[in-house]
Amino acid sequence: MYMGKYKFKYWCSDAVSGIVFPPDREKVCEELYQHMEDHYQDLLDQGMDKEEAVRETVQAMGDPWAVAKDLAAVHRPFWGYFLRATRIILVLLLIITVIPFGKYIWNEPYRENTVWGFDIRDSEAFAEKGHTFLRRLEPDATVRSDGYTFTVTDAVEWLYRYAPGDGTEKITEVLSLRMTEFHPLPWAEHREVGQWFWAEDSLGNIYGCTKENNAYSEENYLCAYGDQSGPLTYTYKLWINDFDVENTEWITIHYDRDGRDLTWHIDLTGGDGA
Amino acid sequence: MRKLKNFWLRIPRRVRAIGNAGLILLVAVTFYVSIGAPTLTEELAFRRAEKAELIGPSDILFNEDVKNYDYQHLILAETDYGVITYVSDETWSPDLCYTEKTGDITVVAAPKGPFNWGYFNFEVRLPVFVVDDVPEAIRAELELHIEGTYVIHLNGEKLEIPLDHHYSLKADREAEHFFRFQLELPFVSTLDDYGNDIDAKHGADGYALDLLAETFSNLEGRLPTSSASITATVRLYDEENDLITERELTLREPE
Repeated sequence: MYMGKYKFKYWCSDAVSGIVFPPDREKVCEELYQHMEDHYQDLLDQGMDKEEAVRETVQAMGDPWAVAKDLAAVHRPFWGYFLRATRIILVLLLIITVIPFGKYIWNEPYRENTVWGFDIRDSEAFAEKGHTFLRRLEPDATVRSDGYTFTVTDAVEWLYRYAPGDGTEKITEVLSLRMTEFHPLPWAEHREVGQWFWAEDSLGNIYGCTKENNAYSEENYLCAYGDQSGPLTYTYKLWINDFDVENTEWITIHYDRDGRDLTWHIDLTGGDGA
Repeated sequence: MRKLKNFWLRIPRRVRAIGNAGLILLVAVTFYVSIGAPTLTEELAFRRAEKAELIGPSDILFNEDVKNYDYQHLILAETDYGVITYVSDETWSPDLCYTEKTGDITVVAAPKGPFNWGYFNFEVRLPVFVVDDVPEAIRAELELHIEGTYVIHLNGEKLEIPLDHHYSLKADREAEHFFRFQLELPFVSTLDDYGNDIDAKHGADGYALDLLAETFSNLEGRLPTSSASITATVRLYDEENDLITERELTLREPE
């Protein structure tokens, strides 16, 4: 390469010195250099000697400082730096999001607690555990409050066999319900409101809610256990103890607290028997 | 890939930057949801909690950083039907407790105290509120009587701690609808200061305060089986220091 061309480099460096964003500066410098190189080549082709061609090329490009001023006005650095910053932020955000979001999706927080050791939706499970499945209903009783939708999806009547510890075996009639609580917003919390449920049936029996009662009690009671069952759902398992399966025509679950009066009416006639 | 890169580079820089900013917003929202969408203020957290409890919306009466041992922030709120106490800190889930109103005067305590252990090495403070609908009252007296036994299990042994505590508290009205009282135990630096005797006065005082706090807690399994009862006498006075009303309330029945 003819050494005189270093003057092109100097000229370009001076001309782009006003451009603040470095990648722009390099790119424009390359373009200007290429332009000068082409012009220089044309002059050589016209028969001019190298030294003269260099001088003529630099002269043709004009005052580098005046060009620098014009280029600086055109090449504002804001969008360049902004684009670079968005790239960095995006990469960092993706890294810190992938880990917890992966846990959110693939973790197993939604393995439902079956409470009684089996899922009441599985009719076969009753016999396997030594109990007797009687009847299944799909009540689909829905109540909405405070943005939450509560739906009783399953109702199962069955005989619960247990040994109270005195060498005898006892059987109690039980109505089990699954109630799903849904909220469309992923950040809406689901809290244990099941402890405030109580029930009354068509025979006039009242079932107060308690978690302290255990299955060995022979009293009327309702107990409700809840579990997160999906990103937007929480599921309560309701156990209604000492329940008259044969004569009860309906049961109503109540939640009446702080001025709210929510009721789920469940018709217990019909359904699939064993 | 090269075609895609060339296509991307042909897009004006301004459009690419705005596109990236949109992606950042999308990823940021995903991140926020994935970490449980924490609220920015205690009040927002409280609003979310009361909605999840299917109570309220309530009027917030007291909303302050109290920097107690077990919690940092305390909110007192009322609805037409009840009084809500809510405490939160940075470590544990917040506790929200709803108490049905007892007419125009309701007594509640913070739903969390320094439970069961460690009444040494820090001060024990339990805020107690009288929520009232007696606007002419400017001064209140609260007498609390805690009597019975408090049951704890220590090293597998069941202990019944006798309680017979009487507290007389006074407060001037700070704000509408409530009076704030504070039950306090003196600072005790080590166990030796009151001995290892579980029935020591200081320990029993602590259990009395525990029982009061736990009465207004809906945390399962926290409430001890106890034969203790808690009664309160509230007296409200007007500007002339004349008694407006006196009310006897049973806060806890013996089990």
